[in-house]
Amino acid sequence: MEPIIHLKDVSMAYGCNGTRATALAGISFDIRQGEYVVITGESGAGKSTLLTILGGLQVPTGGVVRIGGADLSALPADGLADFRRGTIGFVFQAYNLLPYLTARENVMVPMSPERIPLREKVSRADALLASVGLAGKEDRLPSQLSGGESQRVAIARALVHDPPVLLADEPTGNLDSATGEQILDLFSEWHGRGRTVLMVTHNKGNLARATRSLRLRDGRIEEDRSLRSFPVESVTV
Amino acid sequence: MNIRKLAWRNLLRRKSRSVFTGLGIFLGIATFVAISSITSQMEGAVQDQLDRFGANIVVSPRAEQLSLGFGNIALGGTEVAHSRLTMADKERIASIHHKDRIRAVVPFLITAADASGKNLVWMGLPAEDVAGARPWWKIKGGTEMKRGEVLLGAEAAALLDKGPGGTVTAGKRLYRVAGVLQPTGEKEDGMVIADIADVQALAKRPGAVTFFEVAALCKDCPVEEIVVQIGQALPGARVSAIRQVVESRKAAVDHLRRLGFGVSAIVLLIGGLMVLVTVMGWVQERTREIGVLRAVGFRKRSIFSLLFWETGWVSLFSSLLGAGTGIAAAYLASPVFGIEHPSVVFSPAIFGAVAGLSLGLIGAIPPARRAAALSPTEAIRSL
Repeated sequence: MEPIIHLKDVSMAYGCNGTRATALAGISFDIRQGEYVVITGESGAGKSTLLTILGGLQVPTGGVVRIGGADLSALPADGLADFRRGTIGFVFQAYNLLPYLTARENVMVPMSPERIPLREKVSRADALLASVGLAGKEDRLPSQLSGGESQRVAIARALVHDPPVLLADEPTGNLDSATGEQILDLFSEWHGRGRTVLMVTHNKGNLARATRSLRLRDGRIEEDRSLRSFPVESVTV
Repeated sequence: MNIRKLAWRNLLRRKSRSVFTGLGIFLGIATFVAISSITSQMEGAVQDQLDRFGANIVVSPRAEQLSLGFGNIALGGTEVAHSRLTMADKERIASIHHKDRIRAVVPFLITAADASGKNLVWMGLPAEDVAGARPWWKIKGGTEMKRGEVLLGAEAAALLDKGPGGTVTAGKRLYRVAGVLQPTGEKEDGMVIADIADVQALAKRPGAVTFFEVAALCKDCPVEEIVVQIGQALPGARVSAIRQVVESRKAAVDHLRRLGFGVSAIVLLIGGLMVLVTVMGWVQERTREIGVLRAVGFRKRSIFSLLFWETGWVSLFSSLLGAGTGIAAAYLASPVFGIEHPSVVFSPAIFGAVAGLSLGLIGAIPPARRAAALSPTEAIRSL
């Protein structure tokens, strides 16, 4: 089966005024559909850079990135935007909700540029909020929600287009352990439906739920370990 | 939730900044509409006042200059008129197609006649038209002349040694001196001015007219058309526009208009720059938000559109409010600018509202382009 994510010799270097820093130095790996991959490593190892490349937020300076059959290096800016909207769900450590919008409206934001009837947008957002346990809190502003609730809204927003790949950057980093566990349950539930999850984390406890771990060091893969088998289901990309 | 609503919600969230952005456009459009409205009304008022200062068209008989001579001896020349003008021609002039633009038609008769033993030039015109035809005359003595009365030019009065209340004899008739003109530096200083009927009787030429002066109301001046129409009504007459008068009136009004446009353009430019600077500030502040939107799949066009809608809402409301305020300000300030009958002029308001909206949107283009061009990586760094 063709991997849903394919990276070959991916490198990323930043530089200005003659100085050059290498964030990724020729990384290659494949991820099959339905894997739950935890990416670990020290600060500056290149975890976040890898995540932004996988999310189509930046193009690597070298190598090939194919996700769901699309070569990200060949996509124009709008093509990358469409790719992000259709294929990727992003969850950030700091939630990044728009503070002037209610929970429901935040979940509806990715649908804003689309010509979808308002009723359908609302119903989809409410269903997602209910699925993350926020039924009845649709009209609350982020300032009226706890950290865990805000992260749930962020997850609902990431899932609004039912993406086959979910990328998360330290999603439990700002939460206490109990709330963090609840958030990880949501990821596990999503993964259980055959979706692919890639999560950057420092929390070793997250390894228990993952099927695979990748440890980065100085822009290279230091360790690529399979943790357990996973069920493969058919997901259309 | 769509981009329009997203823009609207963001504006409500940043009320003071939205108000500040709109303030530039509001002030610009209010000033523009007020100045344009006042200028427009002043143009009419100035034109009206200018029109009161005499005629701008002269109608005289078509004439030919004949030179006389015998052998090699030149005997000078004489002017031969092909036709004569009469009082009846006044009606013909007043019935042309553009008759609504004609404020006054004043017949004049010039003749030489005896006045208390001195041979002087007499100028006749309807007594009731003296003030309208020669508003710049300053008359010592009576301010009005009636039939049987005369006005004396300053030199004529000195020559006859007459003053207000005196009498002048002509053709066995006695005329009372109603007043004496202060020196004008023109030919009328040496003339005796009387009602045209009296001068016609004195010259024994009833109904005769030497020339007509026509005062045309010249806003958007169709003076050339009026000249042609009078020429068609009086085929035997020579009709000429006094270009100097026409052009000077146009120039005065044009200066006023240019001043108004100049001030308005500067104010609008400042308003546009305020929008540009403020929206540029928005973009700087909202790098993080733009990063989120890009991360969830917003295209560049959607970001551009979002900024455009935000500025569009602000510009629309500010422009409408500015246009309304401008109209009100112009109406209230009209008396200060000598406008006797203030009116509401809607055309600057409509233009101002459209200009304000356009200006806001144009001012938003550079920051919106910048926001749209913001690379997701750059934006995402702040996430």
